[in-house]
Amino acid sequence: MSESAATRALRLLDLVPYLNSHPGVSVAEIAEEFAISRADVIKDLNLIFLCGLPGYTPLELIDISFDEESVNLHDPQNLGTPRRLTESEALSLRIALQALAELLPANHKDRTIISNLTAKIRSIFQSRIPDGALTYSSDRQRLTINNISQAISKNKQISIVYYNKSKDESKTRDIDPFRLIVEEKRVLLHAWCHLSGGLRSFDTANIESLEILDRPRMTSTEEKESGSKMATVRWINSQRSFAERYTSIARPGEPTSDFDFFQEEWLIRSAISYFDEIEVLEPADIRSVVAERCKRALELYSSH
Amino acid sequence: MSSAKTERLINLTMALLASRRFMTKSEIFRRVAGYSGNQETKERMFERDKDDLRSLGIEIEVGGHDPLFEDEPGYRITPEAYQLPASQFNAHELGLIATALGLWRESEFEDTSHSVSRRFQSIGVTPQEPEGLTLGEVSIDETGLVEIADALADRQGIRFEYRKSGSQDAEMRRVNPMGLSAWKGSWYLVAEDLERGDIRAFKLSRFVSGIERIGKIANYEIPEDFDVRDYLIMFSRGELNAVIDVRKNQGGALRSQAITVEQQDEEWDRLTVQFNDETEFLREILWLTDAAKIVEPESLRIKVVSALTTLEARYV
Repeated sequence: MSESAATRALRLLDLVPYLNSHPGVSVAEIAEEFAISRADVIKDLNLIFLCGLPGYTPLELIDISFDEESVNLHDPQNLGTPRRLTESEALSLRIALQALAELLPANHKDRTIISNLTAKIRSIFQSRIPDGALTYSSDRQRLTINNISQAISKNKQISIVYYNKSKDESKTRDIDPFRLIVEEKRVLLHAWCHLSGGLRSFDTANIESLEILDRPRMTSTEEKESGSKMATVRWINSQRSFAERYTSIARPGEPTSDFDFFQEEWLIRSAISYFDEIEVLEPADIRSVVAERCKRALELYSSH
Repeated sequence: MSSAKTERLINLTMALLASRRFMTKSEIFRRVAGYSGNQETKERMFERDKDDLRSLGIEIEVGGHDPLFEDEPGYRITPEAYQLPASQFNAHELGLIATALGLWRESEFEDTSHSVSRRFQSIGVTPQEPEGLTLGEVSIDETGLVEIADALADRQGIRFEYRKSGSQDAEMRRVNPMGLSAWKGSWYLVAEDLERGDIRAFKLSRFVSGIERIGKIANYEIPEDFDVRDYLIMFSRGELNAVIDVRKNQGGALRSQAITVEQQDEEWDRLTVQFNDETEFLREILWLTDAAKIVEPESLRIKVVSALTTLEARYV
């Protein structure tokens, strides 16, 4: 590998402040930090030794002493402070900070600090690229889903901070994940919630943070016993987009289908949303709820 | 590998950094170690050294009119332009910087971020590690990102072959990069299209060639109020418009795709939404039942009312 004199000069310019702030560092550590061989470190150190300010008497040279075990910089002259960032380096740091802020839980205290820090970096390095030109919105939900899948396959419990929209509050819950149900607009996690002591469906978009615990999860056979309910729907016509979306539902040519469900709210809303495809026959007690909801919604349109 | 040249570059940097005045060339040749040979050789040496240092990102200021050397320009490097302002960062911020830079591990940005990270570590302040961070595995990288970010930093045009969505054929595009955005797991370049004369968004994964620089460095300005999000909305935008009143704290999915959200009163917000598939959109509105009310268009409003009437009759 032939390295240009300029690239090497840049490394030396960074080596001096590094040595200045890491007294007694070993040659092996330097080699690792700068990704060069130990022989090259020695060559670099021997070269630094020759550099200095005009005059070039011992008083003006960079003063350094070293053996394999310990390198000590006695006088960095005017190179003791590290180089500032270039525009492109500052840009990569600003992107990384934005990504970090995005990956933190919504209410993490460091989010504001990071956003101020990003602005500060822009101003310190006099960047010509405005803040609005760089945005990082993570696919946090995808990350959540990956982690849930991992927990399910490893049979681990997880701890989540879940935001309940209707109550507008976030709570930490330890849960046994059972399975992910992919809908077009959202991905639901069916799980046993130890906080509420029951089966719950969580919208993965509202999971603010997630941690895989080192505790075994309940398996899905126990899930069935612990509380899913049976629904019966009548197919109104030959369309089956409802069934296609929820793959757990059998799709025979029968006029009705039975399937397991976990959350009444989900079934009620499905009955309304898929009004042109299904009629929920069982459980019969949700039928009046559907009618009541629709009546309330119609009032929105008739009141004015 | 010529050590002499490296040594001279460092001596030159140190001398220019130490000098408060502008140093003229003759002064440099006289005082800085490493310049030898006849005048022409020294001149050529110096020109190359200057270019080298600049290419490394070291700013050399030119100017100064010393009355004795009226026709000779002078050179210097100011500490402000060279040094990392160490005192501006506290231990907590340095910890966040180190963690953030760690996100680039195993990406195209790895070398850059390692160098940046090391320089922050060389400030001499021990960074305070951020608490409560479990980031898991993330990838914030994409092919071409570094080259585009560099071009953006230089404010220099680029050209590349690009395949539009739904198209088989690639087309050469010439653009001035204006911003970068990671959005729903993909990276987008927002840039002024030099042929079409407007600002467009390009998905990095649809680049089918390498990236080539065109035009000069610092060739254009990016307006201070420029916001990439103004141009990314096109990826979610549909053909049809709707205005919907949605109860506060409800209709999250609808809100996330809304173009505008305005407060109506204590209970309701008014959303402007664009959509493509009317059947799907109707399902979404019905899913919200009494938490959403269609204001416009009339055709959709009629469909919602009709569905609700059918349902009420069916389930009584």
